[in-house]
Amino acid sequence: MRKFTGLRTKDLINVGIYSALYFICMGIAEGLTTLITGLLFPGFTSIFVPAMVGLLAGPVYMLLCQKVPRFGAITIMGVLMGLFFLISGHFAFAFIPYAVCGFLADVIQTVVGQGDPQKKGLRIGSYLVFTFGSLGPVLPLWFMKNAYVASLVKRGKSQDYINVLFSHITLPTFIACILVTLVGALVGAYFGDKLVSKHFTSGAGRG
Amino acid sequence: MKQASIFTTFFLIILANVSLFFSMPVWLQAALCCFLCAPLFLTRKYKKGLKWLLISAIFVVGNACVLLYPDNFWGHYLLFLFSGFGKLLPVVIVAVVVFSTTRVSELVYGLRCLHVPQWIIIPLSVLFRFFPTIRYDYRQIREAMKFRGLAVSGASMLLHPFRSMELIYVPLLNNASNVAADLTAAALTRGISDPGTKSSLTEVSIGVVDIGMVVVGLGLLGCLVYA
Repeated sequence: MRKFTGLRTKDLINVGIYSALYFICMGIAEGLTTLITGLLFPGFTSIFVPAMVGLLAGPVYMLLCQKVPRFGAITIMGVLMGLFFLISGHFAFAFIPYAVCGFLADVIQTVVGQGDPQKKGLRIGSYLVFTFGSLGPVLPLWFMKNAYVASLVKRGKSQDYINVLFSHITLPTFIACILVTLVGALVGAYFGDKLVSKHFTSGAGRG
Repeated sequence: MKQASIFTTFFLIILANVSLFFSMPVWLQAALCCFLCAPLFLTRKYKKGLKWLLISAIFVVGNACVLLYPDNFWGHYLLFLFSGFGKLLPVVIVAVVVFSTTRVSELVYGLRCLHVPQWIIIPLSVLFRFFPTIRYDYRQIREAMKFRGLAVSGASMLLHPFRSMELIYVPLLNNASNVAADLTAAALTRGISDPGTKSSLTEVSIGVVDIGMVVVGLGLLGCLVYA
């Protein structure tokens, strides 16, 4: 607890609950994308997953920002998501981006913006940064392509198979992936912000 | 029969993840999947255990037969499906085992023994506790929506994505903040913020089952390395 003195037990419990919701959003995003892109163009699934996560998880993130306007909450959520990726076999490559993005998003939201609900731009910016954490499991596809190809060759897979597998893992698709993620996260952020300010501010209903 | 302890669960998680680094022959994959399904049977979740055994069997058979398929686009697709997802199968089974057999009190005890800091333990235990609630809530919300004639089928839900998202998110998030308040009250009453050493009502002991599981697991790991 000494590390995050600003957070009380209540905040930690809130973080746990919103992380669970974020995790569910991530699962649904993965499922939906696999279902849709799997039918249209198989192999491209992993490129659209981060965008879908950004699209779906906006309200959860925005509400967390509103409920726990202290440094640490978003970092812990990032670390928890990273832990899940680590356990589900995506290796350290997935853990580090999520933890780092969580920390950066946290800095933008609570240190630069000081958790001020008026600063909408900064909040949306921090959400964009956080969403890029979910690129983690996809990144090795580009950066470790050569190593991966080598291990496939060693395992006796034919060169044709490898070509089919990697035909779309190129620089343009990498840029496209980032752009799609950016758009998805932006839409999700605006939608989430609208939803939260409509239903969860002190003026409207309970919150 | 006494069920396996939390430390064995940790061991299974590590084993499944290590298995990703090795390419394994089909028989070993089958053995590993059967082994990882065992905790489900030990906790008397026979139906779930049989279901995952069946899924493993489909993947193992598919993995063995897929190379017989002609070498065209669909052949590649099937190969990708079976060998790609088949490789992840042990991890998926372990995830199912963790979520359906671990009790939160045991998990917290295990993590405390490993000296995981408090700011990870509290959110993590809340997270585990909260998953079933989300599922229950989601079903209730969908029922209520159908009752009012909103997005009765999946297609009409996708037709108005933002509206259905709003209809689902608002009650879900509202309930989440209520649950957070309740849990906070309950946890503070039980002294979660007390800085002293915590005692645990759950007794975790290493039994015959644990030793058996670890020995079999290490055996499989040995086969994995040398196969």
